[in-house]
Amino acid sequence: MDEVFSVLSVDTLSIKFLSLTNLEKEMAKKVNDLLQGTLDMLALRALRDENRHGWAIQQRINQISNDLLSINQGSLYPALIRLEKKGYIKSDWGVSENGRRAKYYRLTKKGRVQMEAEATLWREFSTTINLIMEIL
Amino acid sequence: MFERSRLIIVLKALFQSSRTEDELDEEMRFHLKMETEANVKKGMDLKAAHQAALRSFGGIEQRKEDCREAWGVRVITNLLHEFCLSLRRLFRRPVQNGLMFATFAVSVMLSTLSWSLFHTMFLRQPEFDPKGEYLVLNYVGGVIGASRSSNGEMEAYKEGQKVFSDFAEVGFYNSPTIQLPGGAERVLAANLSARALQIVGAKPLMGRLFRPEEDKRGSAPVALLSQHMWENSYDRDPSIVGKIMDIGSDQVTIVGVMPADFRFPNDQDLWLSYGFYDWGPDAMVKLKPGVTREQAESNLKVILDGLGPDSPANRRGLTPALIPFRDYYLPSEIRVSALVLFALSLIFVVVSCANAANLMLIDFLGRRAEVATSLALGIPRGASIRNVCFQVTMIAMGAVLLSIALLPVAGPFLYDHIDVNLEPYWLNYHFEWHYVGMAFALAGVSAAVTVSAPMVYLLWVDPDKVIREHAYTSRGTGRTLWRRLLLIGQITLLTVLGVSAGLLVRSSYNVGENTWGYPADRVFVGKISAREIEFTVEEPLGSVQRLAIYRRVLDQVTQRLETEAVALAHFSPGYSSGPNITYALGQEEIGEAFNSQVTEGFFDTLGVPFVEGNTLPRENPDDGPVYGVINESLAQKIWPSQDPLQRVLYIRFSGAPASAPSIPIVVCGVVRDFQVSGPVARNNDFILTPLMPRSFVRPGQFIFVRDRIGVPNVRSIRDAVHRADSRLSFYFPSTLGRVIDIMLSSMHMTANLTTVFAAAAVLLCSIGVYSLTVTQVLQSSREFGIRMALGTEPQRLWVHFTCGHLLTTLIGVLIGLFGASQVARVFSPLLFGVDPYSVSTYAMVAFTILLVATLACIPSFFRLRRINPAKCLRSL
Repeated sequence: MDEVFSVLSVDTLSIKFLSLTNLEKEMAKKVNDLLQGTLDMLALRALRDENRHGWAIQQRINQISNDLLSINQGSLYPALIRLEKKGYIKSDWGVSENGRRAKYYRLTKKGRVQMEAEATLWREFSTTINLIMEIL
Repeated sequence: MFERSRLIIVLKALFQSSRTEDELDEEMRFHLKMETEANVKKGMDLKAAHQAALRSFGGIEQRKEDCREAWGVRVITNLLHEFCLSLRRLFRRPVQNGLMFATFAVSVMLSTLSWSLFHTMFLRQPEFDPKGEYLVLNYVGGVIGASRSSNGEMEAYKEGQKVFSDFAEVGFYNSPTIQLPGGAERVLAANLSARALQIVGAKPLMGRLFRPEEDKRGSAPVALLSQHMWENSYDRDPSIVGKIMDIGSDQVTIVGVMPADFRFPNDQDLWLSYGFYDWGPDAMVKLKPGVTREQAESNLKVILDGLGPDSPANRRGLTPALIPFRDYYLPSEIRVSALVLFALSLIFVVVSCANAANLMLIDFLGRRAEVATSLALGIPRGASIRNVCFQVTMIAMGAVLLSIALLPVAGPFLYDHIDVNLEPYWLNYHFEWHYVGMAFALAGVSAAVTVSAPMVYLLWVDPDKVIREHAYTSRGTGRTLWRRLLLIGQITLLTVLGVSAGLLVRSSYNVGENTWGYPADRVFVGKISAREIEFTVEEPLGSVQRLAIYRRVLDQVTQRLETEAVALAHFSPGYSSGPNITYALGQEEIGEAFNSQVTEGFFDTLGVPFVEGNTLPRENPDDGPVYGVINESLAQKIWPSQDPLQRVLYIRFSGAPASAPSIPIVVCGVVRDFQVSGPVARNNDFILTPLMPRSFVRPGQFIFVRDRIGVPNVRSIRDAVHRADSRLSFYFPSTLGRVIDIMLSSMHMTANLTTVFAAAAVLLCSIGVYSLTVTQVLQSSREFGIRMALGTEPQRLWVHFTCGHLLTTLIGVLIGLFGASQVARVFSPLLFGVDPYSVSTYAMVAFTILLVATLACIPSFFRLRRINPAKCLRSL
């Protein structure tokens, strides 16, 4: 599995896998479906500790995944709009570290609850999959 | 539930779209700059770093589109865009679209109103009986005017019936005279059993309802007052319950007051217990499940037959009948009018659809080059069709909104002009949501039919051919048979409505106030009765005593400072029914006239001037001749070119036995003609004689009062009457104008409605002619262009094809005139002073329609002049 997930690029709708067999591709497609909502979760996770602008969120996701998960940068913005519409995050204009005007996102109380819920769900899901894989 | 955060983003994207777009752009640029800087730090040169940043971002415009999608306002912005586009189109062709709007608005408005009337007359049920289960037990057949049952029969039905699950006795109409604190008054009342009050869901404002034991004959009579009567006649007396009121010689206990919204079955002021009723009761009944009306009626007939030939209904040859409660009060002619009105309005919808479709077609034919070019450039036909749909929908919705906005004004206006005697409460106008539904449905159907013509055009048009032939391609000549038939149909409808309206309006004018001969709105009329006095004396009053009482009334009313003239009469214009005597000079009867008894001030009160002689004497001695005042026309008829004063004529009452002697009348005065029996009487000749003991003085008299200024005050006249004798009952106070208006209301309603429909028909037909002629010019433009290229003047061409249209119009007019003559025969009883076949009216309507049709052809001339013959030749 490490080989399969060696380089993973998450888009809003697609994940590109390298060096995959047909069976593995099919499996990857299912995982792709599974991961469709994960960008939202990752964005929420990236905002857990501090308020960030879009580019910083993307950098943070790369950083915490040790560059294993490469986000298609442009796809982050529609995801941020979706999260803002749901009331999980809020945005304000501020000044960035290099003195430029930037839009900063912050996690709301509702977003924090949602992030925890999704993280728990994800952990349970991955534990179950790991368990099954070990048994098989 | 729509979350607040979602709402804020959607609203911001909608109403601050440019700011939101700018912010998105700025945010993405910031991202790219940061990424570029990061790439530079990794060792790339600036250009490569920027390119790499763009690649990893994935295309700015694509991402912006994704963001717009995420805002969730794409559908709304598209619709707004289409809306703005359609709005621009609407204002680009204001005449055509304005005409289409007018067409839709007129037809939707009339149809919605007609639907409301139709629903009220045929479908609406009283609130207490939503399923229409209650029937009224009544009679049919037998002696006219005698369709009333007896109490004994009603009891027999109640005891013997096996077909009803509910049986409540009622007396729907009663008009007793009651002694109120301010004097005697006649009021509208109904007698209801305890069960009837339960059925209609009555709840008293104070006191209680009737009890079942009070339904029985001989039980102590009890009454419920209306809130109006409690407030106005008893000054909101808080201890009214338990008080006694005098009705004739009976004492009735007031047991409660009903709230203002309780109206059953009409606008009653008083409800009396059923036990206190002995004149022609009815019953409200409900059939047992599975029993049909016919079976129930057979069961009642068997019971009636069992009562023997001496029972009142059997003596009169009556048969029991069960009538749906809703239909009980509605005269069949009103229902027929509602049905005809609804059918007519649906025809209007069809006509308006056809006209609107033609108007749309004009729009497309007029800019066919533009349409063809856009199609050739690849704009999908679907987009054009969507634009058309949007445009028509907007017009239709505008028409619906206008109709709905006018409904609260037009609805009550229409209903106020429908005069049903003793109108039941559920026949009033009140708004219902399905009126709005009907308006939208009609507009939707109209819009769907209207868009069909341009849709077919858009689907069939060959853009290459249109462009190749310089936009002068023509699929037809514009003279198709269906169009001609449509025009003929419209003109026929217009002619029938026009002639009907013309006749009815002339008739209304003929019975208008200017023809009455007296200032009816200034003359007060009411009725006084001495019957209450007769209850208190042992011997019935004679004519001398009655006359003495009435003279006291005249004196009291004359003493009012405001009174200019006052009179009493046996009759009142508006209530009398035309000639009741024949008159003769010798043995031979000459003609018919109206006779009644009046006091000497009658002519002065009505403001009718004397042509010759004087008014009637105050005292007409019993042994002397009877004096009379006649009208000017009658005098001319009997004694042409002679002085009629002191001449004698003989009168005999119609229907009097042949052996009865004629009464000689000496003419003491001649007055100007006036409508003594009311404007709708065929003959208004009269011979009025004095109110005198020699002739029978009735216990009830009409009183007429004219004040020096304005309309007499009812309360002050009532007080004056009661000062003469407080036992006199005083009722039906009104003005002569109002009395005659009520009499004429049905005619006015028919005339007004027909005029409204005729005006609408003129509008629809002129739009129809306009659209047909312009369509013809547009569709035949190549033919016309070639003819002009060959030397024919545009004027001649226009005259030629206009004559064709006018010929079609003429055919429609001729058919319409024939139809109108048949329709006029039906409503000839409503016509006064107008011949149903009045040539002048028919000719005027025909001329007007031809004039309107000619005027509607004029715009096509300007279209014709815009045709370029050279282009047409090139298109060959």
